[in-house]
This record gives sequence, structure tokens and C-alpha cells, in this order.
Amino acid sequence: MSLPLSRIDYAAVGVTSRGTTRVFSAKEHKQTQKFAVADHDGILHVYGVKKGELQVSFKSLPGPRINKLVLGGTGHDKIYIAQGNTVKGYTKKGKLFLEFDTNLIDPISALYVLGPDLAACARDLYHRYHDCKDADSYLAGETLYDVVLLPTDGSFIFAILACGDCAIRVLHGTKTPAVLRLPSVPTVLSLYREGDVESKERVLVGTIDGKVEITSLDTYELQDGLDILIGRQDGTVEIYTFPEEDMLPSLRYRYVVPKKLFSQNASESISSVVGGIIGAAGYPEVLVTTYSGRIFGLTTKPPGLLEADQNDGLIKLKVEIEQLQEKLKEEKETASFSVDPLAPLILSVNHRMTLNREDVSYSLFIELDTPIDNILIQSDTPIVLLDVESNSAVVSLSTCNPREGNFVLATYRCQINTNHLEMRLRTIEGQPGTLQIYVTSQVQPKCCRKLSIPIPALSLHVRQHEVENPETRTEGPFNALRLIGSFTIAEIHAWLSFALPDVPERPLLEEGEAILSYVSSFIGSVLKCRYKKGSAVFLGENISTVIILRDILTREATKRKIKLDVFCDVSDGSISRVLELVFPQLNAVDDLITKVKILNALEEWELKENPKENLCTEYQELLQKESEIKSQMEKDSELLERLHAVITDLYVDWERAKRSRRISSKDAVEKLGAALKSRELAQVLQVFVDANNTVPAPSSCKD
Amino acid sequence: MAAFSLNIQKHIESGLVTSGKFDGSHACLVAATYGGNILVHSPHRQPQITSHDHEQSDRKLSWSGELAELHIGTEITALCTGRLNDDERDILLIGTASHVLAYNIEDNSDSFYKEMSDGARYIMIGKLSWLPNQVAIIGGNSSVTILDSQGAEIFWTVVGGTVTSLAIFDFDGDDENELITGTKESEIKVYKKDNLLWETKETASINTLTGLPNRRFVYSVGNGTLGVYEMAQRLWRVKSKHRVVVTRSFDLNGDGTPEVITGWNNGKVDARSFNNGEVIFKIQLSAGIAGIVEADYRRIGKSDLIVVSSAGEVRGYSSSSTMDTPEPGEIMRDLLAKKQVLQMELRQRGASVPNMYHGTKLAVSLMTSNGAARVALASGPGLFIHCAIVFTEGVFEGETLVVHPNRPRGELEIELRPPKNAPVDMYVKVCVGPAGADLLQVFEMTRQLPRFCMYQIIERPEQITEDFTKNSVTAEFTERLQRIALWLNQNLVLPEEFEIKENKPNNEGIEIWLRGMRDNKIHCFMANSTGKITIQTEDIIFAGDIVQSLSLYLGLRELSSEVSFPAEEKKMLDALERVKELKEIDIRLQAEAANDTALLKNLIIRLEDARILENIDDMRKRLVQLKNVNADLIREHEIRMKSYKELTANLKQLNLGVQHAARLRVGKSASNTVAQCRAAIQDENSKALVLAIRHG
Repeated sequence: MSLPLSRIDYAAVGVTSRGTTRVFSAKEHKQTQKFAVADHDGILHVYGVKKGELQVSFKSLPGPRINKLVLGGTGHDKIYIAQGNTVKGYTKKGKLFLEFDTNLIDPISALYVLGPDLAACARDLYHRYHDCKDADSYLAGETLYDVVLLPTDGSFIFAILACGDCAIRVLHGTKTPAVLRLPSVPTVLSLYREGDVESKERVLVGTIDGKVEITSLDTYELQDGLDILIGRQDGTVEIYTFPEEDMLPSLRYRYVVPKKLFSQNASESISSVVGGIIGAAGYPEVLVTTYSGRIFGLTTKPPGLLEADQNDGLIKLKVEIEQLQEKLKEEKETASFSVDPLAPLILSVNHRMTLNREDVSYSLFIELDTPIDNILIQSDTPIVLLDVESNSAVVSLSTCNPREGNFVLATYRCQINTNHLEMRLRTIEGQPGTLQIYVTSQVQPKCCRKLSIPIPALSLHVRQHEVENPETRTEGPFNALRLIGSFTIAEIHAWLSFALPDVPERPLLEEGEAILSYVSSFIGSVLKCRYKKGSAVFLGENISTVIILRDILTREATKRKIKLDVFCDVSDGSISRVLELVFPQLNAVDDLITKVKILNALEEWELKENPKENLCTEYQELLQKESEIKSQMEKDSELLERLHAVITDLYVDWERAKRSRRISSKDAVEKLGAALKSRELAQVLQVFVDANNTVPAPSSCKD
Repeated sequence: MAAFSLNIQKHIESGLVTSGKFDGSHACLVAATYGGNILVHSPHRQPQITSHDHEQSDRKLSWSGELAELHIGTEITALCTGRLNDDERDILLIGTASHVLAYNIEDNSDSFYKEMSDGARYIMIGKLSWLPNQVAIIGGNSSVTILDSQGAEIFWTVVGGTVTSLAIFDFDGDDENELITGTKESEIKVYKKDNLLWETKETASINTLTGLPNRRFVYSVGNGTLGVYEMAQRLWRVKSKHRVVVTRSFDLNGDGTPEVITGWNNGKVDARSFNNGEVIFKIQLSAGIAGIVEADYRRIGKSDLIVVSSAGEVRGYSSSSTMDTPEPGEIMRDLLAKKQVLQMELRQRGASVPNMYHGTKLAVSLMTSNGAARVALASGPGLFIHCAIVFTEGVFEGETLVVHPNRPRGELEIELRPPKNAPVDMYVKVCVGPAGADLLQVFEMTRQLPRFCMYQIIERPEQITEDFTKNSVTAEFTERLQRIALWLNQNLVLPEEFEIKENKPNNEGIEIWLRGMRDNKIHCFMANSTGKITIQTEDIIFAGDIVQSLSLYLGLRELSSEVSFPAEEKKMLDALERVKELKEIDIRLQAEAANDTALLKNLIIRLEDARILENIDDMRKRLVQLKNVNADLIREHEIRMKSYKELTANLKQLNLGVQHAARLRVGKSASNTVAQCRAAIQDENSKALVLAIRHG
């Protein structure tokens, strides 16, 4: 890595949202720049470094939490903050010049100011104001993560939206937006800039699935050439060179925010990275803000020159700490029970659960603003917790009784100074439920925050967007589920969100009909949903998917006392289709298991020494790839069982749908056992067909 | 940073790494690799031109460059180097499941080869206070054997379990070394000759033990716990989800006092201050740690700490060179973090916890009923218990028990079933708040479950079988009944305190009937006014637990007792009989095996003759014969293994029996019982054995 940077700490504020730190332009070239930070206590801070010392030039009073901070105005010297659904404007000196209630129902999550234009996004709604008057708006129907406005030559403005359906939408006036599909959900938009000059045509996009979610982006010239600055959820700050034509960006520097003292791997997510000259004139640096509100710089100033700088700051800080300790002692002694009604919120938990398509498991990320003592996970549905290498907490599975609604009770006792924890878990399709998570903080008096995360029935399905997967494979044949009843489109949309993950905020209507398509990340079978007022059609390649969907939808309808007519058309061809999808995987796993068996045998027979002399080329190759094979095996040691379970479920559901017969999965396993062992698709298929011949059962379905 | 690093590109078995100066001056590294091979790495070895004998006999080192291999051919279970006599050259001791081999690397020859029927799980060389010379100490399945420099057995003792680790250090501060053993059965014991000085039970199987100065030692157990004891007091412990492979003491930062160095199975190595366990240094290797040794590997006259990973990576760290210098700005960072924590705490105190949380208390009570010890919790009005977590070790499979009711409740009961009769320290966290709240208050408390909480007090049963009354232990504790009552109150969960009125001088004593909730068996505890105590029970272990606990409470150093456990006696006599038989069988089988081996050798020579003479028919004939003999041998071996397994099982049973009998006594009487029982077992004298059990 070609860039030596050293860390200097500046200050600590409250918990911060993403994109709440900005750097002002410098008055003179290469002079230190001021910066603004806003936190969840609703406080806006403006800091600047003078004579090597950090000074607060302005600090607002506390208020509702601030979700976003942007700069606007000529010369980028006006601060705009989003607080609930209000936008406030401050000058650099701290004078409030604007307080504007946007009348948006949901709190503002993304904000952008360009000249007299102000764009605000709340949930799935984009709204633009011109001189604080409504200009235009757009209902995306998808969660909007970020917004950027770009000027055009005319009076129009381009609005660029980062949307939850893996798309960037470009709005131009009131025309239908242009859609740019991405492989993953975009979370951050940042204008390409060179120094203070922002580009009018280039925008950087950070996505959720860039290995670790990108939380903040900027471009800045740190040393010879423009760099891309990236902040991530796992606490890494990365700096890449800006790619020239046809060149891949190269990594110049990586920094993982460590937490002090004993903990390993502990860090916290980055909420902002901005380039600027902050600590010392002439030395460009990266200004970083973390979730819990730590602000520090990664400076190009050589470390030898740093030490002496901060002595005064240290003394000041020590005094502050003493005062705080004094105050705490007082509090403890008086133990007053008066509660300050304006007291800020405590225990902010930041969490996210995402599906890893690679190994079809969920990552659960939990972050607290104070050190975590322990986390308790309770599940009312069967799930499997997997080990995460970076997670250093001591895991313990408690005994539990499924009859009391506890399928998993697991505690993660954290090492000292752990602020965030990543866990992995595996869900089972057709077993919906809720995870209840209790996060206990280490700070006295101890409190805990309870989270509930629903697990949808078809938890392993991933939403598909139109242009994704250009290599269009042939789809179908499909099993069809038709529902007719007196439901509204909003109702069926709501029911679907119990069954499927990532259902958009609002139904996406096209000519009165909403369309959603999903693919199973595990086996690759397709599910298509089309629904409108009073009727809905679901086409699924996998009969199990259709049956699960049917169960959930009819249950929801019954709950609301809505009568449904349900028609289920089973397609015989769909069975071989699903088997065709599963078999390659099955064979691959089988292959892998055989290889591991051979390796183990070689080890037991002590034949690993001198493979060149003693073994055939096939085994030599195996030995060479040993660690690779074994790690692959470890990645998913139960894959074979899971694939078998898919086929078993398929059989059970097939019997249920085709012949209205319920058989237990134990019976199904017995029937399929020999055929599965043979690894012959035809044989397995025969089992499905056979039952058809031997037991003529009444079938209500048409073929 | 690392003073040197190299890679020997071989898989190294975890825990089987040692170092020694086999020529008396140059340090070598010795490690076990796959399939019973020993690897010697000697960076300073002079290439020897003369020894060009290509004769590939059994057990010879074959050198290639700096590396040499020694083929043992069976799984290696222990490795150790050290000096057993005045020879300044170190000797290498190799332990397998059946033998100990002492090897002289420089001479490339065996020093001795000794059969160990209990196997060699751990080997250590050192000086013990009660023996004049350096000795080799071998820990096996349920025994410790001490060998002298010739391989002769000079001491043997039984330990209750499979030895996993040994250490030699001064435990009691008398400037003499004691022996400390750790077993798979999670016990740590300190011996001085035959005397058991101290014992404790940990929460999982003991992985490693390492002696430290100042009467301290480090221990690690299978569930990821690492800790330090000083004499009998635990100074600290930490727990990780990874497992400790090796512990060692080494002065890494050069401050004059050694640190605790720990190698973990995930490739981490850390150095901790042994006063408080604070990590002062750590590194991460790409593969799990196989071993850590101390050796002067660079020939600088000072030992380096050498870390060996299971993938064969070797890194050396010199004393006092590896400390992290604080980064610039580190102080600032720490202060800022401190400030943040203080602010948070202040905020949490003054903060948005609803008013009614304050001052509420949690009612807690402990009881024993319906097959379990129960902790009952009740929250204040308007508040509900959302969940409760009990942290404790050795009671559950993991370290926690979580009680999570369907919906928050005002009252909650936690069922606990400790598997053993030992006091259990538990740490309970209870989340309390209004129904539907997502911010909850956490009540924390520590409670100790009494040692005998799994025994419920009952009325005297109407029917008592005659067999029951035959089982008893009687001992003179000569103690006032009041103190015995106090002990009862402390060690049982009683519905109400047990009281003995002071002013009634001639009361008839105490009689308590108990029902064990693990097995529903009935026990009776009686004490008369002179302090004579009788325990009637069919469970000899329970009786032992009571005797030990009571005498510890009363501070008794000596206690003899009269014992009668017919069933137990019969079991031991049966085992003794069986051992006798099995030993005979083993001798017979050995003779047969020798016979077959001779035949085998003969056949091979004949086969070779036939091959040289190119007599194909004869070769075929010999091969068929060989196959048959081989099959015989395999069969016989299986029979022998089976009978050996049975033998060890019976020996274990006997040892356990002896231990149980000893636990019914304290002090000399206990060690007498052990000695007498052992003598009786040695002589295969069943009468003496019964007498020893009954009367000590």
C-alpha cells in the first residue's frame, strides 16, 4: 500500500447517521478547512483547527435526531440538516436562516441542495422544492437511499435517486425516469469532485453488496492524483486511486477502526468519510466519523510531526473527564429519580439483516452506541446459527422447548469494548417466524434494547428486476396459483410481505396490475407474482414455493375474514424442471464429499508424504487442492442434507397438490431414499411418476 | 516484530512441539507430523559426511539438510526433551498409546524403550522434591508413572482420570517442586509424593498447565477458558470461543517478570500479564498454533520464544523486542473513549428509562421442588419479566440457560439441575419492563446454589428395605449439633432454617431424610449429641461428598470412619477377580503372538528364497500361507485389544472404588485407605481389600 497515513483524533459527538459530516471549502488554497457534524442528539457542531488546536466555532442546542447534513449555497457555505420532516438551514457561523416544514409524512432520509432547489426523500417518496415551494415529486415505490441533483443547461434539473430495487433512477422534469439497473442495492451517491469543483456529469455509487456495505464515499486528492475514499459498515476506510481510462482502481490504503485495549476485530461502522485539509495546513487528510460519534482524521502529515501538536488538547480533555467523573459521583450519591423529559434517547441500535446469496445464509449485523455486554437471540421458528470468524463473542446455546415457542435461545457474551457484532444464521423456507433480539449494554445502570426481525416464509427468495440476468434461461413450466376474492391491491400486497422478503413499500402498478418476480437463491427456481384488485396469479417453477405461498395468503385472508377462491394448477413438467436445477448442485456436493473422504483415507493410511512418488495424478491433484476442498466443505457441511430436504419437500408438496394427499416427510424420505442414492435424475423422477400410476388418487386439478 | 521466521512446510500435530540441545549446545526444534513421524529441525547442525550408511533400519533418523525425520509408525501422543543424567545432551522422549521411547538424537539410537500399559498422554522431565535426580514423569490413562534415566519405574500413583497435562513447580512455597496433574475429567490435583495437597474441579477437560514463579500456575480448559491460580486462589480467568493449544511463561517485554503466553487453535498467540490477564501483545498466524517453545535459535546466548503453527510456519520472537510502541495520538484516543463512556453513563442515569423503573426491585427466592432447584423471580407491579439469562459453568452444555416466556410475565421460575454436588455460582440477568416495551431494565444478581441443592428434604419413609440399612458410613465428628445444623442450613435448600435449641442439653440428635432429585434415591443423615454422624445411603459418592463437605466446614484435618457398602465391595471384588483373569489371558495371548511372529518371519524368508530361485509356485504357496498367518495375527490382535480394553476398564473401576473409599475419610486415614487398598490390589488379596474399604 502506497500511502502512509496516521490517525489523529479530534472529538467525540453523539451517535451519527450516515452522511452527516461535511467539510467547508477553504478560504485560501491549502489552508485548514472547517467542518460540520450533526448527531442523533440533534446537535449541529462546526469545528475548525486553529494553531494546531481543535476549536468549536458553533454548537446548536439539542433537538430531534438529525438524519442528514448537506452543504448548499454559493461556495457551499450554508448547512442544511434534516430533522424529522423539517429542513433547517444554518450559516457557517451558526445563524439559523431557514426552518422549513416539508409536510412529508415520513422523516427525511436523504437530502440534497442545489442553488434554490432542495430535494428530500422520505421512505419511497422523492420531493423537490424550488425556493421552498413544491416543484415536483415522484413516488418510487421503493426505499430511497440517497439523492443527488445535477444542473442542466436549461432550467431543468436532473434528480438521481438510489432505489432499493437495485436501480438508479434519473428524473428529468416530470418525465418517466430512466432506470439504470445495478447488481446490488445502491446506498450512497456522491458527486465526483476535484477539490471544490464538483462534476456535473460524474456520480459515484456505493452499493450494499460491495463485499461489505459501503456507507460513505468521496473523491479527494490526497497525494499525487485523485483518490476514491470509501467508508464501510464493518469499520474499514479504504482509499483507491481514481481509475484512468481502462485501468482498474488500485488499493492504496486500508484502515480498520480499532477499538482500544484488549478486543480483537472490534470496530464500529463508518458513517462518513470526507477529504479535506483539517488538522494542519498543507496536509490533505481523510476526515472520518464513526457510528458512535468519534471523529478522527487520517492525515498525510508524517507521524513524527504529530506528537507535540496535541498536548493542550490532552490537558483540556483530562479536565473534562475529571468534571464528568465528579458529576457521575454526585449523581450516584444523590440518586435523584427526577427524570428529565428532554433527556435524549439511549441505546441506539443499528441493525441490518441481509441474505448472502453465495451460501444462502443471512448475516445479522448489530451495532450499539455503547459497548455491548451480551446479545440474546430468541427465535420462534427453527433456524441454525453459524459461526463467524470475526465474531469473538462466546456463544452459548441454551436448552429450549419448542412447545413454548422457543426454537433457539442463544447468548453471545461479548469481549470487552465490543460495539458491534456480526452473526450468521440459516433459515428454512416455509418456516416463517420472528427473531427477538435483546441487546444489553455494558454501561450502568444496565438496560437492554429489544428488536424484532420478521423472517418471511420464502426467506431464501431474492427479488428479480427486469434487466437483471441478461443470459435469459428458459423458464417454466410453471405451477399456477390463482386467487380470486374481494381484496384490495393494498391488502394482497401487505399479505405478500409476510411471505416474501424485500417486498417494495408500495405495489408497483402497471396498468392497474402489480408485478413482482423472485428467484430462489438456493435452487434457482423462479416465482412470478401478478396481482390486482380482486385477483392474483402466482406462477412458480417449484411446487413447494407455490404451496407455501398459498398457505400464507389463505391464512392472512382468513384472519381478515376475506373469502378467497383458490385454484391451483399443478404442472407435471415442473418437477423435472426443479430436479434439473437441484441435480447439478447435488452432484457437486457429492463429488466434494467423495474427495474429502479420499483425502481422509489418504491421511489415515499415511500416504500424504511424497505424493509424487506414491500416488496417481488424480490423488496428487487432490492433495494439492486439499485446503481449498476442505474449506469448501466447511463452508456448508450440511448442504447435502439441505438439498435432500428440498427434494423431499418437493415430493410431499407434490403429493399434496397433485393428489390432495398428505404424507409425512419421513415417508417421503423412505420412498426417495434409493433413488437419491443412485444420483440418477430419471430414477428420482420415476418415484414421482410411479406414485401416480400405482395409486390412482382423485385429483381436482386440471393438467 | 518477529526476530526470524521460516516455514518447514509440513503439517505439525497440535500440542506436539518441543525443543532441545541434542548435542549439548545447538538448539533444535522437534515436532510430530502426520502418521507418527517426528521431525527434527536443526539450523546449526554441521553436515556430517561420515555417516553415509544407507541402511534403512527401523527407528533411525534420516537427515536431509537441516531436517531429519524419525519414523515411529504409530500415533504420537506426547513429546518431551530434557536431561535425565549428567550428560549435557538432551534426550528426546516420545510417548505413544503403549510405550515411551527415549531417543538419543546425536547417537541416533534408543536410550530405552519402555512399555506403558496406561499409555503416555503427557511427558515431562524435571526434579521433584521427594526424588534425588531428574526424572521423567509420564501421565497416562488414570495413572502417573515416574521413570529414572534408565527407564526403570521408581514411582507410580493413580489419578482419577485421563491425564492431559502435567506441571512441576513450587505450589506451596517451600522451595521444593510439587507435581500438578490435569485430567480430561476436569480435575486439577497437586501431589507431594503420595499426598494430595490440593484439588479443584474446573468446568471442562484440562488442556494445559504451566507453572509460574510465586506459587502460581496457568491452566486452560476445553471450553476456551484460560486462567491463573495462586496457591489455591484463582487470580483471574478469561474465556474465548477458541481453544487453547499451549501455554507457556516467557518474559516477552523484557521487564524481568514472565508473561503468560498462550497459543490458540485459531492461530492467535497472546501474551498476558499474569497478575490480571491483561493482553500486552498479540499476533495472528494463518493456521492454528501447534506449539510454542523457548530456544536459543539464533545462537545469541539468549532464548527466543518460538511459535510453530500447524501448517509448519515458525516464527521467533526475542525477549524485550516485540512491544508495541504506542501510536501517536493513542493517548488522545483513549481519553476520548473514556470521555464517551462517562457521557454515556451519565446519560443513561439521567435518561429516558421510564420513571417507574426506578426503585423497583425484583423478588428472588430459592427452593427445591419437583425434581429441580428453582430460582423464582417476581417483578414489581406494572412490570413484567421479558426474559432471564443464567450464566454459570459446568451445569449446562453451554454457559447459559435462557428462560424466555411466550409473553412477558410477572413471575418466572428458573429450573436448575446441577449435575454434581458442588456449589454453583450463578450470575443472573433479568430483563424487566412494561409489556410491549422495547427498552428494558436489566437486573443483575449473583447467587450461589448450595452444594446439595438437588436433595429435597422429606418425611421419614414408612418402608425402608433391609438392604438400605446395610449401607452406611459412621464417623466421629465430635462437634456440637448446632454447628452441624449450621452446615445443613448452608448446604441444603430448606423450606425453613434448621434450628437446635441451645438450652436443651440432652436432645436426641438430628435425623434428616433426603430424596435425591436426580435418581429419586433416598438417603438418611443422622447425628447424635456427641457428634457421631451416620449416613445411610446406597450412593457411596454422595456419602463421600457429605463427609468431605462437612469436614471442610468444621475444619477437620483427620477423620476416620467405619464403612459398609456391600454392593460397592462386591463390584470391586468382581473387578479384582476379572483383572486377575485378564492378566493371565494377556500373558497367554502374548505368547501366541510371539509364536505367530516367529512363523511370519520364517515364511518371509522362505518367500524371499522362492523369489530368488524364481520358483513361482512356491512363492504363491508362501504368500497364501502368509495371508493366513496375517489374518490370524489380526484376529489375535483384536482379541488382545478387546481384553486390554476390558482390563483398563476394570482397573479404572478399581481405582474409582479406592478413591470413593478414601473420600469417606480425611487426612492420614484417607491416604492409609488408598495405600492399603492399593497393596491389596497389587497382591490380588480380596480379603485385605474389603478390610481396607471397611475400616480404612
